Amino acid sequence: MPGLIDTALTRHEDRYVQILQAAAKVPSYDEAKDEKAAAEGFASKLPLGLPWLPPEDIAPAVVFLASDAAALVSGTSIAVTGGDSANITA
Amino acid sequence: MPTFSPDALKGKIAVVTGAARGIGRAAAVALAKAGADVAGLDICAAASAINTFEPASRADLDETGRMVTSAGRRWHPIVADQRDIGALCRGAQEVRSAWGGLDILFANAGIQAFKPLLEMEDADWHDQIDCNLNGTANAIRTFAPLLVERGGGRIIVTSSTQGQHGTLNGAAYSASKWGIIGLMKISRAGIGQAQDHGQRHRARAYRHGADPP
Repeated sequence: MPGLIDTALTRHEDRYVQILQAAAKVPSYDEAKDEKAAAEGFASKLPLGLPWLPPEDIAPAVVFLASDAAALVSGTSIAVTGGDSANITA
Repeated sequence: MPTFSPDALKGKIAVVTGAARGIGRAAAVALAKAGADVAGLDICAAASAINTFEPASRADLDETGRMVTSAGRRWHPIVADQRDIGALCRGAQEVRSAWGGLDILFANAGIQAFKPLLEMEDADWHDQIDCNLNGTANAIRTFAPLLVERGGGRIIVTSSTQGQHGTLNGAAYSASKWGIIGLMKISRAGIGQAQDHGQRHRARAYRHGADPP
């Protein structure tokens, strides 16, 4: 269960705008589509201080779940969120 | 990138959906580095007109393949839209024919778009539910029978923090990702039962698609 990941799905102007507007950080599309502003906004929200998480740091959780190391892990979620889990109740 | 022992998944066969880039690519490569052979599935095209991000391409999927084979593991590309259960059936047949079975399914493919709930067109809702939730269910329904045949395996799905909280203008995405968590929870019980009733389960899973592999 990843958070805001550094992928094509996240790294584009529409996405920056949506997140920043949702966080009430900026009033207008033009202000929000700025990548640098978006990065600063996201990083300030995340406990580990990253704007978006590299997919390569999500992948080890997949390998763990696929491996015998997770033999007794089933029917549950693992959150790889850079600490954003601290901001939500579930 | 943090890595596991190259023996962690030695001899295992994995299918990764959404493998052309992003989390799918990173997982495909990490699974290969841990010893698994990887079949990577991707639509390699725009999944929906509502997407505002750049679509994945066949070249992206081939690059994932290059990275997997560079890790010393076998690679098999599957170009398919996971909304098309017949195409996924054919993909499962290909994997079974090529490598004899499957141990790991990472059902990861998905799309995302934003629109205020009361301003949505039908496509804003349907395409995300269809790609993300129905598509993930299709992947499980078509590939999990190969795990049942093996007598076990792992199914891993990609939800989101938005599968646990709402985000402004993200109704369809949140609903799809919340649904994936529910699907994951019931799959454990449903597929365990299928191991006792393998043929019946397969008949149902393939009802809408190609012949069972």
